[in-house]
Amino acid sequence: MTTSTGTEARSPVRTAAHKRAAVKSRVGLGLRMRRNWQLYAMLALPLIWLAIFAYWPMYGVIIAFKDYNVVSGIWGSPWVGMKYFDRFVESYQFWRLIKNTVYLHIYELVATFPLPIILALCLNTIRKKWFSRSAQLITYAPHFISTVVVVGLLVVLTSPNTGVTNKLIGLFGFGPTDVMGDSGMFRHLYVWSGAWQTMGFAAIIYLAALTSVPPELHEAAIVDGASRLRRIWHIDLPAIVPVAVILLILNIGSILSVGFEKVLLMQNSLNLDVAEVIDTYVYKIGLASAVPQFSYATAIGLFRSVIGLVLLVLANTFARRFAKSSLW
Amino acid sequence: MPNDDFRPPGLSRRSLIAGALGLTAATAGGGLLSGCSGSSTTDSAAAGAGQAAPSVTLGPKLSTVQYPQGYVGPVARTLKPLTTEKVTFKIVVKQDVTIGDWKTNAFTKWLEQKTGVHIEWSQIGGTDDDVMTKVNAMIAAGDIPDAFLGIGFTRSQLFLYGAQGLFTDVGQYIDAYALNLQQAMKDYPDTRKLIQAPDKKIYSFPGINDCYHCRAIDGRGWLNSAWIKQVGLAMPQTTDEFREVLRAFKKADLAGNGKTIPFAGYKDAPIDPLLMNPFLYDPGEPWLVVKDGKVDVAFDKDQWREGLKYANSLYGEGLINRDVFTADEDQLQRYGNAPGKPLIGGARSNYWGNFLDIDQKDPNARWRQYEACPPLKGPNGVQYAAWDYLTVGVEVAHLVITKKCAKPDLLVRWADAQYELEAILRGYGGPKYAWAKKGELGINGKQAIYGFDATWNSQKNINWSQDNPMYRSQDFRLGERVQPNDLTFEKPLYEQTKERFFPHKQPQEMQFPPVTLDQDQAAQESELRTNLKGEVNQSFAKFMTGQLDPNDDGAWNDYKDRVEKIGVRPYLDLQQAAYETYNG
Amino acid sequence: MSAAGTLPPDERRLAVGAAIQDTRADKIAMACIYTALGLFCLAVLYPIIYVLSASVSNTKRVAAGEVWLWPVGFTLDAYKAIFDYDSIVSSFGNSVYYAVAGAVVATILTLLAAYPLSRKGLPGKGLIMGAFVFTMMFSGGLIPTYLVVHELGLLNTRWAMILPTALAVWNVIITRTYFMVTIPEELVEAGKVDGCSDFGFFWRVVLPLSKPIIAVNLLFYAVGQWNSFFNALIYLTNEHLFPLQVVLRQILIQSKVDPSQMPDTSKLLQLKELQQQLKYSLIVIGMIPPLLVYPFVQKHFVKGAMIGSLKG
Repeated sequence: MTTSTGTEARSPVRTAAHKRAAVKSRVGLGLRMRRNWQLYAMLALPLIWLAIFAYWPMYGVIIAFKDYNVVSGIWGSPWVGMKYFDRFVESYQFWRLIKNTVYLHIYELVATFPLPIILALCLNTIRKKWFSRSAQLITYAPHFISTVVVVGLLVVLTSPNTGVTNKLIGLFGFGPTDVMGDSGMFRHLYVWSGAWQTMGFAAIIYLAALTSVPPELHEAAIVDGASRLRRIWHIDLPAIVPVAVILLILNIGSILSVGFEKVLLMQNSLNLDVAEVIDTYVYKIGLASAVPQFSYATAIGLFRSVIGLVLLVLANTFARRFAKSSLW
Repeated sequence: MPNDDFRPPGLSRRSLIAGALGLTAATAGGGLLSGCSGSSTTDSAAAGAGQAAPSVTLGPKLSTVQYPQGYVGPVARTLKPLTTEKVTFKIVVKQDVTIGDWKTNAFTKWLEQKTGVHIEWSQIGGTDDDVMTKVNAMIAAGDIPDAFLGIGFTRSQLFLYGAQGLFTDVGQYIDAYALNLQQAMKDYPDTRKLIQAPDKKIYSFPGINDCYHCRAIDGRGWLNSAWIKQVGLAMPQTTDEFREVLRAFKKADLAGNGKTIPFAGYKDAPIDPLLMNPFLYDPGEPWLVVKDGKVDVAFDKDQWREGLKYANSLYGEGLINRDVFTADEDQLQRYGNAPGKPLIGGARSNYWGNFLDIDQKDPNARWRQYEACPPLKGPNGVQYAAWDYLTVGVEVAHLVITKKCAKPDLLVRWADAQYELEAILRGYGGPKYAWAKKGELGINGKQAIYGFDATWNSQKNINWSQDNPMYRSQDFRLGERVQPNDLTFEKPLYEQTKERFFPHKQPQEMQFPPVTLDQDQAAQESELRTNLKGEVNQSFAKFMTGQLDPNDDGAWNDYKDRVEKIGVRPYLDLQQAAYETYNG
Repeated sequence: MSAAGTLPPDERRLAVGAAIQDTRADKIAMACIYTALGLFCLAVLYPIIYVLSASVSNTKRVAAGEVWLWPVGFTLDAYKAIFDYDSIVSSFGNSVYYAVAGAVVATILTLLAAYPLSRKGLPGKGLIMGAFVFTMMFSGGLIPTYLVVHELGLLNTRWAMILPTALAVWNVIITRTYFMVTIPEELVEAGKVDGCSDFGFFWRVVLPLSKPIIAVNLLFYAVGQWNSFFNALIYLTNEHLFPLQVVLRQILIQSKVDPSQMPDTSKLLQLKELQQQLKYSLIVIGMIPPLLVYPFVQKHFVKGAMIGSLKG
């Protein structure tokens, strides 16, 4: 790399077209890499970080195939092969857990993915600056109320004896119901309270993307007599599609995870059949055990990662073909 | 032997409160514990220490302290320095905002000044789960301290790590140096059995906390006695009377505006022990019972189904809050603390504080209206107070000494010093204690031993918030002075437990003891227990709320099939094996 | 470009908007947007006001469920009580430190990673990207990561709060996507023609054009640090280094644990009082800094900001 510095500096300045042609004509890989040495230099620091904090610890996944205990250590614990994977796949709850997790995740995705986009587009359209700014600030705030309190508020609001929701449905002549204990309501409560809490925060990323829209486009469209909705659709929306597609791909990769703490707090004896998800189950088996079950927890985590990776690759291929956008 | 003058004089009082751990007979010091008698103490002291063994003796008793007649428990003595040279131990503890900085804590300073032992603290934050995660990571990294204080290792963990040589077997040091603990083990003869691992070694220094009312915590419910009077009834004794009282509450609508909730429960205090014990012995999760030496579960028996029918009918009549399985404690408090009048006629909870604010100073405070509802007698004459003989009282893992510790003997003596009466008072209360004067009475109506300034529990950085090893015998706990202007809730809690629950306790043999599992057993157990617990709790809730009909044979049989399929058999086999190991 | 080009982008936009009358359909659409946003804001405001009101109300009356919207029995005791706990006060300072330092370090790393990966035709780009994305799916798990941090000697230092989570691949991907949209290849080529090295181009052209995404990165990383507690729990054993969330978590969750696990009712009562007293005031304290910071981030979400700086 150090020797290439000189070559690069001495190389003649080319025109843009010239250079693109050169790239296309398969300039030697070595040359192209040397030409980009500064870009690699920029990448060095992040890559070193990645190697140390992400890849170095990764050998630890072998404990999924071992009977790990902390005293014997990762290398000293005996190999058990696929024991823990088998145990999970054959466990009484396996299919229920998969089903609950996937349902909850997909419901959440479908319901809450478009909302921040809509919110951002609305905020972006509004001309009254004070309104837009305060609306942003207000919708952003609930992100900082901890889950414990949010779930506590759900209990208050839906209480069959003192809650507001029951007073409301009481006006329509329906008797009080215990919404938190209704397993049919669990997913709705989880998803919509989540939407309510995170929508404003999630919109920030789209607001940032919208800054890349040149105002001239809008001006031209106005002159052409395009309505406001048409401008949102044809000018603003395309600006956030690349980001949205990327977020969607990443979201699909995490299909087997959901907000663990919130689900755990929302669980009760009546909704457990729909509210038990992989994360809460791993927690109960793994950590709340007489002896922590690291191997079992790691095996389930690995299982989830493999499925997530497969889905991620599929989603990415799909996106590359149809949305012209891709992760790599 | 020290402490001899406090040997119990007779059986009269103890037969009354014999439920307390091991306080079964004055002669209990023999048999099992003969190895711990005074003479062998000095022997093993010499043997255990190897080099010039310090002759361990206790300091002289403080003469100013009053003890009630027949007192069994910790004694106030002058604490002697344990060491003359400067010794420092590294100890890992939990962070707690009320303890504050362990370094500057008042009890830390006092104990160091008395014992001469200096501690370097490492504090772990977060919940108990977080703490355990961190501790496991430390162990994995070999980053271990001299000891862990107040970290909640399970018996199984102590055994697993102890057997691998990570934790020190402190048995020999206890036999050699821990004179206070030795006395406590005489007072509570089951202690050794409860703190021993299956390999007969002792991997932690225990704490003893003989909390009398805690033994009946799981089945306890409360009823508003003022309301009962208002509807012209008496405290219910049977399942039918209980129903009558709740019906009367509902009919009279004592909260007004149709808001009355005759009886309430919430999700963190399971209601099944209250409603099941009139039908069969139900100790609560994980519902394990012992019958003639065989481990069994309560939740698939026909009597359980009878209990379900009863629960279902109460709920169906609207006598129990609709959100009994979903309300959290805050919600229950809103029912109990409602302005004007409480909304609830009664509640299933461990003590008043779960559903009401406790104001100790106000003699007419609302919480005083609520009295413990006695265990109910079922239609077939069954009436149990699920009494916890074994898991309340002796607590393992208060101090766990690791292989890193160069002087485990000194650390054991340091822990033992905390069994001294003044150290206990300062350790869990703070410096603002006072010795009771002659004639002042304690919670049990006898001579009081000590008292606290009423505000002790609102100060910070003064005690170790019960993380330290202590010897709190029943007599000690009940020897707290009762002030007429600050009536502690401990007194009615004790009295009502003694009067209403103790007489109906199940025989001790029926209780499933705290067992120790090996690593493989623990792995299977946690999975089976999680699944069984989920199924049983969910089905109980569904049967009670009418989503399943307990009168329908099909629904009941489906439930039994599901439980069977999850693995009740292997679960019981596993527990049976552990139970037999426990019994040696 | 347009005639209004000399005006700052925002005013220019307004001038154009006012010049042309909205159509009827536009007016209806705008009315709908205002109404929907207004309603949503109300829905979001309710819990925030509730928390605020509860924090300045008499704790007993909060426990009795008397607080619905406005404070009942106004008092600032809960805020005064916070100052009784040294650990809470110092943890607040620590949290600010971690949020600021963590955000700066992480944003620098993210920009360094994201820009090269946004460039077309960088050999090995797909491979490097794959290496990043892979770590989103697979991690070594808690204990091996702990062992690494231990090995590096970071345990119980402030670095343990900043370095192990210094880079979020998610942010790298978003930032890269932003670069791909806003820095057209033609611009890069033009820079090359002007004799700009990659470093120079990044410094003089890319960074000034990327204020919104830099602001978003700083915000996301700072908020992430602000809300996080796990690293502190795992890597720190010195109370004086703990962040606010650890204390908050202890007060909110520890007192929620199974009451039968508690050694004693007196301890239970103490925890309950502590929770009643501090719960809401701590949440408010925890919300204030992120809310104060947001307007500074928001400032950069101005339409046409990018074009404006291009001209300058």
